[in-house]
Amino acid sequence: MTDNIILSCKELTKVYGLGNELVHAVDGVDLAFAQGKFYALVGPSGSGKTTLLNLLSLLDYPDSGTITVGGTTLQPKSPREKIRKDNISVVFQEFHLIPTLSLRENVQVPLYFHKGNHNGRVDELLKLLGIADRAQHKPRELSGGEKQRTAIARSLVVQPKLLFADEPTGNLDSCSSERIYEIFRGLVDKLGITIVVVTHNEKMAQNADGVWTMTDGKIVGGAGVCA
Amino acid sequence: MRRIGGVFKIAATNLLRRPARTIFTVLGIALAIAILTALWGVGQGYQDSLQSDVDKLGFHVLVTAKGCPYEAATLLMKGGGGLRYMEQDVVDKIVNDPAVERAAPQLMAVEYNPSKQGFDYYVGIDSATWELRPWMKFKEGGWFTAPDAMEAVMGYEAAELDQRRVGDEILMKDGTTIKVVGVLERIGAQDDGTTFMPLATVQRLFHQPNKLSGIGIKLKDIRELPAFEERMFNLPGTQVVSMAAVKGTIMGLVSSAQVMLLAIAAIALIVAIFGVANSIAMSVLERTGEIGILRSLGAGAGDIFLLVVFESVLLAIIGGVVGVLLTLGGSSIVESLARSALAYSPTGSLINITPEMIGYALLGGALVGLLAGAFPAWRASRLPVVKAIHRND
Repeated sequence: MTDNIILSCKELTKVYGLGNELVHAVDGVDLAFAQGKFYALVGPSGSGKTTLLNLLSLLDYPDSGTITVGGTTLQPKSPREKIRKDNISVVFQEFHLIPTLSLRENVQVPLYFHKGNHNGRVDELLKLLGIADRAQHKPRELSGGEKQRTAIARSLVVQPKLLFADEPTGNLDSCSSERIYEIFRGLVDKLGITIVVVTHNEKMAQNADGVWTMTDGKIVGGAGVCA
Repeated sequence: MRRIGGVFKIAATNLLRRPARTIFTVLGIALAIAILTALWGVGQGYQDSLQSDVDKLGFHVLVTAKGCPYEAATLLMKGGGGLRYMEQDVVDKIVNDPAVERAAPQLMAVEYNPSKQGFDYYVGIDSATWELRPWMKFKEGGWFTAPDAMEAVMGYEAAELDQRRVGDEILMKDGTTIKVVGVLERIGAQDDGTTFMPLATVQRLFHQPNKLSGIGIKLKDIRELPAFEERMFNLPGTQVVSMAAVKGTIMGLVSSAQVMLLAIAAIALIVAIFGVANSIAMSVLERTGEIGILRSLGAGAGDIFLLVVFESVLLAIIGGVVGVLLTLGGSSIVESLARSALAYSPTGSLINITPEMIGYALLGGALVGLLAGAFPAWRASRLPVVKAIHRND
């Protein structure tokens, strides 16, 4: 690995109580992600992929272990909202678009919470993701693929360095899934964003720059990419 | 600013998601605000009109025959019969009192009018009453030609109602005719609906020689009232009541009823608060995933709190505006209901909605929204991001 690493974690652990049992959803995971690469995290359901993604995207707190983002190391209890806000966006299987806003207005939502001038960014993204002609439509008038592309545009509008996607094609047909993969690939290649995808989509995994397989909270296979 | 504007926009559009729920919640608040504003308006309007009626009597104190002083004062103010009578020579004793500037004796009489299926009210007065009420102006005609003339001066509404003009004759029950010699301009008081005759004429027509219903007295200085009352105490068969006390007593009775109604309105308002809180809580529950996503997109806990509170306050302000419009639109209905329910209603408008009241109603609405939205907002802002996003998974 080189110093081109944008995100890494060490001995990351997350334990849940399930009745009287303790479930190690993430169990001592060490990973590193290079800038401008596309990663896939695969594994059976319940293996801990989503939990790991929540920890790496700084949406949740680990019980132990550290995460380093752009040179800042976070301990389990360290506040992480600001670092997440400045570096990371997340796309989920559920689109959660605001139904009363148009596609364009949905994409603009993150700008309400971020400082800086992002003028022109919205139009650029709508064009890049092929949804510019649907900009004035409400979410109920969009197909599943268009909704997911809107959600992706919304996550990219604040220019994150890292994009996490949790089963982004889980609700889409194969054609739309293919399109999402092409978009991710383009974002990595053209914009230099690092993308980490939790997926069951074989094609997406096969074409990733790095793939890790998870079982029972541990990384059991695959390899990262040295930049 | 962009942040506040953006959060406000999301909150405002959220209200359109469930139009039926929004409409019913708004109506709940609107009704509560409308009831409160109307009651407040009635209280204010009643007090203003009563004050105007009392002022337009032109005297500070009323001397009547012994009995219930407030009943006597009320009857004198709104017109009516059934009063006890006092002897006219009391006037001479009163005018000699050093505190008295002017004393205006009056005799009230009532006669059934079969063509109207109602009563005609006649008030016998002398020139002192006229002098005590300088705001009384003639629309046409003038004052009685003699202190015992068979003549009448009609108030504006009394003349309109009976379609009388100067020169017309009023046929009394006993066949006597009374000539209308004057019609007054509208003054917005009980006098508008009254027919005045010379005191001696009413005494003769209604067989009450040397009798009076009461004597209106203007004091040189109102601060002399306690001492004057003390001196009048010794006059046999009479009692003194100040118009301020009459006003206070009537307002006291109206206020008692108002307090009860306000209590009901307050309950309606509390129900409205719970209605808004429930509506907002439901809305938050339905949007838990969305709130989680907003957090993941950079919204802080404060943004989420603001979002939910904005929604609640906006809902309540819309309810407040609708409530005020309901009150303004329905004020004539409220007024007629109040008139039918109250024993004594002043002549002016009974409901007086001021811009200040409208401001307070809207402020009250906003406060309802704030109270109702605070708890759901606090809960929404504390939702762990991951749990919120995956709640529906």
